[in-house]
Parts: sequence; structure tokens; C-alpha cells
Amino acid sequence: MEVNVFLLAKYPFLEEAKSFLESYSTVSFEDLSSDEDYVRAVKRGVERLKEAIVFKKISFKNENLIDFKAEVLSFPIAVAFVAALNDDFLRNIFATAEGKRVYELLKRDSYSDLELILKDQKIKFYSPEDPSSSLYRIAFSEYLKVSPQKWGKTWKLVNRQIKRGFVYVSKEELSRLVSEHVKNRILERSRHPVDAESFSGPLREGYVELKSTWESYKLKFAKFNKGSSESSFPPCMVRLISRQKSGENLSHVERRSLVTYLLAKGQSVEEIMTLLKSSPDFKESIARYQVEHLAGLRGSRKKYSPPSCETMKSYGLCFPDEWCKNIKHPLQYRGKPSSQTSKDE
Amino acid sequence: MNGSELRFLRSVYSEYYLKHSNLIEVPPPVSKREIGFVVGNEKVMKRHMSFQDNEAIRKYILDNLPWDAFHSCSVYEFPENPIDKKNVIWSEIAFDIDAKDLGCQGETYWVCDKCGEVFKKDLQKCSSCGNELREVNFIASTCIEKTYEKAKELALSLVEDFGVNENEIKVFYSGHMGFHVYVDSQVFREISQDERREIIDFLLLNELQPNFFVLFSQLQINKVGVGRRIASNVVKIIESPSSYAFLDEDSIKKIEQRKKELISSVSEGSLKLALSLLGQKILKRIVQEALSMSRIPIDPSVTLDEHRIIRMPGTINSKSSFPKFEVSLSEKVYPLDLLPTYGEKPIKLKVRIAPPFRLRGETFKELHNTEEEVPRFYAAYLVSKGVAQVV
Repeated sequence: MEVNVFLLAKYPFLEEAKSFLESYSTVSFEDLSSDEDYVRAVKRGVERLKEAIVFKKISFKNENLIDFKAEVLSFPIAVAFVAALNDDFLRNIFATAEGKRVYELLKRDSYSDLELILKDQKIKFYSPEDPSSSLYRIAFSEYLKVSPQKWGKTWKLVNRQIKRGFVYVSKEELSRLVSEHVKNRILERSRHPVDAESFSGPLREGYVELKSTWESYKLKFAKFNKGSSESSFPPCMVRLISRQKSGENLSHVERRSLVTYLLAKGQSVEEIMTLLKSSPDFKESIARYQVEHLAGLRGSRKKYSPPSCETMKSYGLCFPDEWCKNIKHPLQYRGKPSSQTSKDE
Repeated sequence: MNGSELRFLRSVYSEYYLKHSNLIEVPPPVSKREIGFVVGNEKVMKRHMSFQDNEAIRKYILDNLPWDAFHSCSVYEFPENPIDKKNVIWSEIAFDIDAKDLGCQGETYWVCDKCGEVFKKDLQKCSSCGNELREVNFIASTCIEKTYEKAKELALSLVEDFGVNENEIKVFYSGHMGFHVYVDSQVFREISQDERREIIDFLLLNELQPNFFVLFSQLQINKVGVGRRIASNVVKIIESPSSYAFLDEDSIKKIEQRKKELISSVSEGSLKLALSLLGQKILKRIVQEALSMSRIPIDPSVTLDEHRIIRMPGTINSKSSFPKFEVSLSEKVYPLDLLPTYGEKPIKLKVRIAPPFRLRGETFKELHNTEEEVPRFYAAYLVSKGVAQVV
């Protein structure tokens, strides 16, 4: 079968890309060190990851199509770097940035690219039923797998058109779902253990360079870690903070619950903004507006209260420990009494 | 409950199981499911058991006459291990709808176990002897009917919205005040715990944006997903308008006059005729009512928890001493008329209180501080509720 190399350059996560890359898998890294395509691919792999860390998105220019071999190969190399650096925060940043790149490309591209990816990734879907309809149908289980509920109410299943197991989505919505699917696949792939010791030549150099970029980036977030006294936080909030710190995109409800709680605990808008910066989809202006709104500094000037234990339970966000027994509100949580702490320790 | 009541209940259980042990049916693969029983006079829960097949389970039940029996919705590699070491192979999904979640409650009394007084109000302490009172909730026939309807709506949603095959859905009377809907469909096996939350929200209408489905500006209901449920409930209101207190006489008259046309236009998703006939205020009220009727009040914790154990079909529920049994989706029946036959011989009871109750096509009359001969299966119900003693 003829391989569309340009397509693989745009979407190097495709199954088809694997067979294209097979020729490289038979050669050792040492042998590849002198291969020009390979050297450029490593360079582009490093660039992919750096762009993800610094700009939260990965570029795609037309010249990438000219050097298609390096472009395709740079993707598994970047994944290998992420796997070797073995940090969930980085995994999320990289996977989100790759997902965004795919979304931008699909928005620009024809329907055929989208359908090709869907088929390649074995996602069950139907094209629009007739020319008057522009809605695709996607199996509801596939729809739920990419967790679109995190993106707001319009994505919740309760607000979707669903019939006989299929959810109706527009081309743009489907592109977003596909990009989220790609993100999840990359997260999975980057969890396969890779030993950095096995890297040599350009790969080793690239790894060292990225490790240093990543370390200095992470230092920026140390401030929040020092500032908070999470030991007195209830387990529901500790979980949200830990997910936030590991670079996971929290849902609207989750983020709102966390922010209102931290505000009520006396944290400043700036401190909270530092924590939110670890979100892969962080947008300073939007996040600041939301935090200030919840703090009562904007709009209606109403300061919002954190949800009660009952509400947290109904959101499925309550993970009680033994000190949650007699409280009705996360703010009432006092944790392990200090005397008990010292006794246990 | 004293020794003679416990012995009586065990004799009814024994009679039921000897006659109907074939109804005990754990879904395959039986040996890969966690099985649990409530046993002994102290009613202790024994979990993390496994059995080779349904025959072995039936034998255990006949030998031990447990108060309650459960099986896991999940299939495990090691069903006997503690929960974190069982290793889920796949999980089926179960829904539980209880009458109380529909806001439907049978008669409630407060009983003094010391002197036998019965109160209609919760006085906390018995006014005769000062003893603490015990609350007793009776099953109401109307609540069972309403809950059964909701269970059917849920099953319809699984077919129409989620594409589940009808033969992959089983509906059971739970043995007490509700129904269980059990689904074994490949498409649900692939769904994680987090994704189940979305299905729960879909049924409970959590975070629903009604204006996505009810397009007042276009006088239309978009009949897909929740919109299908809203449209069908608007039709339900039109079918019997006098059952809805918010409709005035004039509106009821107008609906009755053009009922057929109204039903047909709303079934098509159009609200034009309804608006011209009833006006905006009444139409909005009807839609609002239809919306609240569209909520299917399942218990989220049952559906969400993949490690949940659910009552075993064909076994007795100790809250009522009635068995859990499968009911048809298509027939229009009162489910408790289909209660399997057992315990028909009469027994004399001293009854403190018993509201009227329809079972197996017969309505048992109200009883209050009296001695009465009743069939053993009904006697077991009253004894389980703690309102009767064997004479």
C-alpha cells in the first residue's frame, strides 16, 4: 500500500506511521548516529518537547512536510524522551500540546483527514447521514473515553443528542474529541518505561539538554509547594491539588471547588494563580478572571463559598478519611490532631 | 424479634427455597464472581466467597438459609481476595431505583417494642411507657407501580439512547421497595467508573441545559437523548390532563377536545398546536412538569461502584421476606401479583398494625391490634417488619 508521507508527517501517531518507521527499528542507535535524517529527527524531537514546555503548543510549518522523514521520526523520539524523563507533569504538558497541534491541523484540513484518523484509530463513527446534516455520529463509549465532561456543560452526555448508542457531534467537535484521544494515547505510550542510560550519541545529547530545560521549568512551581500547609487540608482537596500539580486538566467543577476552598483558607489570588499555571490548558487572562470572580473581586462582587461535603459527594469528589467523619464542610476539616501526630511519629 | 419469629421466618425461607431454588441465578461466569451472604441470628455479612456454579450456590442457600444473598456485578480473576487484590476482568452495570427516591413512601408508623403501642407520628418516646420508638415503613402498592414504570423508562433509555439490545437488559423487583435494572452489554463493559458518572448524570438530569432540547423560539422539542424523554412526558400529560393538579379546568377541557391532534404533533416534536391552544404560560408549565418527570432517580452509588455486590436474583430480601424476581418489560402488570407462590398455608398472627396491601391479586385488609389468620408468605412480611408475632 502506498503511504501518504505528508499525512504521516502531520499525524505521526497513526498506526500507519509505525510500519513506515519499521526500517529504523532494525538499526541500533549507534548506527543511526551518522544518519542525517536521524540527527535532524532528534533535533526536531527536542524542539517538539521544548515547544510544549515553553509555549504549551507544538508548531507545524509547511517546511516540516519537506523534511517529512525527520518530522515523522521526531514524534516517537519525543515520546521516548518524555518516557525517560518519567514525570507525569511533563507527560501531560507534552500530550496536551500534541493534542492541540492535531486539533489545529484538523480544523484547517478537509473531512478526509479526520475520517482517516478515526479509521486508523479504530474509533466507531458514522459520517453525516445526508447532505443536509453536518453531524457525525460517534459511539457513546468512545465519546465518554476522552472525558469531554471536563470541558463544560455543553459536552456533558445529558446535554448531547444521543440515539441508539451514538452521540451526534459537529466536525469541529469531533476534531476536538480526536485530539483528546490522541492526547490520551500519547499519555499511555509515554508511560512505557524507557531507560535514559540506553541513549547514546545525538539522543543522549538531546536528553541531557531536555532534562536541564525541564528542571529549570519545574523550579518555577516550587513556590506554591512551599507556601501551602496541605497537611490540614481534607483528602478531597489534597487530591485535587495533587492532580492539578501533576498537570492534569481539572474539570470546571473541580477547579471551582478547589479555588473557592483555597480562597476561603486565605490564599491570595497570586498564590492560586501559581498553582493553576501547571494546567496544560492554562490561559493566564481567563484563569485570573475566574479566580478573581470567585474571590468577589469582579462582576457581582460576590465571594463564592467552597462546596459542602454533601455537594462534593454528589460531584463524586469526596474521598473521606477517618477525620472526615463528623464534618459537613471541607473547611471544618482539622485532620489528624497534633498530639496524635507526634504519638504516631 | 424473638426465637419463635426467627424460627417461623426460617421455615418460610426454607419452604420458598425448596420450591423455587431454580430461580436463584447468578449471571455467568459464576465462579468468577464475588458472592456474599448475611447469615446467623446476628445477621453478619460474609463477603469474598466464590462458588463453582449456580448449583453450588443453591445448595449453600438451602443448607444455610441466609437472610440475604448477593453477587458482584464485576467478574474477577480472584473473587475471594480482598477488594484491592481481586483484579477486575470486566464489570457489568446495575441500576437501583427505589420508591423513596421518587418521593413515594408507603405508610409509616412508629412502634413501641416494649408495650406494643403504635403511633402515626414520630413522638421519639412512647407516650404510654417512655420507651424509644422504632420507625416502620410499609411497602405501598402505588409506589411499587410508579417505581416499576420508572424502571421501564430506564430500560427504554438504555435501548433508545444507549443502543443496548433488549435481551441484554433484565429488570427485577428487588424484594422490597424498588427495582434493579441489570445490563450485560459489551458496550457497557468498556466503561470506566468515571465514565459511569456521565451515565448517572444523564439519567438524573444533573447539569441539564433544558434549552438545548426544548426550543421555545422554534416551538420544537429536539427528540434525541433527554429531549426524547421530555417529549414523551409532555405526551403523557396530554393523555391524562386531569391527573395533573397544575392544569385548570379550562386547559383540561381544551386538551381533551383536541387530544389526538395534540399527541400526534408533540410526538413529532412540535409545540405549535399546544401553544395556540393553551397559551405560553400553560405550555411552559407542562414542559416544566415533563422535565421533572424525565428524571430517572437511580441510586448513583449502586451504578458507580464497580465492586458493588447486588442482591442475587431469586433470593429472599430480609427487609420484607419477599424474593427478588425478574419482571417483564413489556407486560402491563402489577409486579407483586407475580410474586412466586409459596407459604400459602394460613398462620395465626398477633398484628399490631398493617396497612392494606395488594399481593398476588389479593388485597390484604388493614389490621390494627388484632389476631388474624393470614397466609404464611404475608405473615413473613409482617413479622420481618416487626409488627406481628406468631400466636
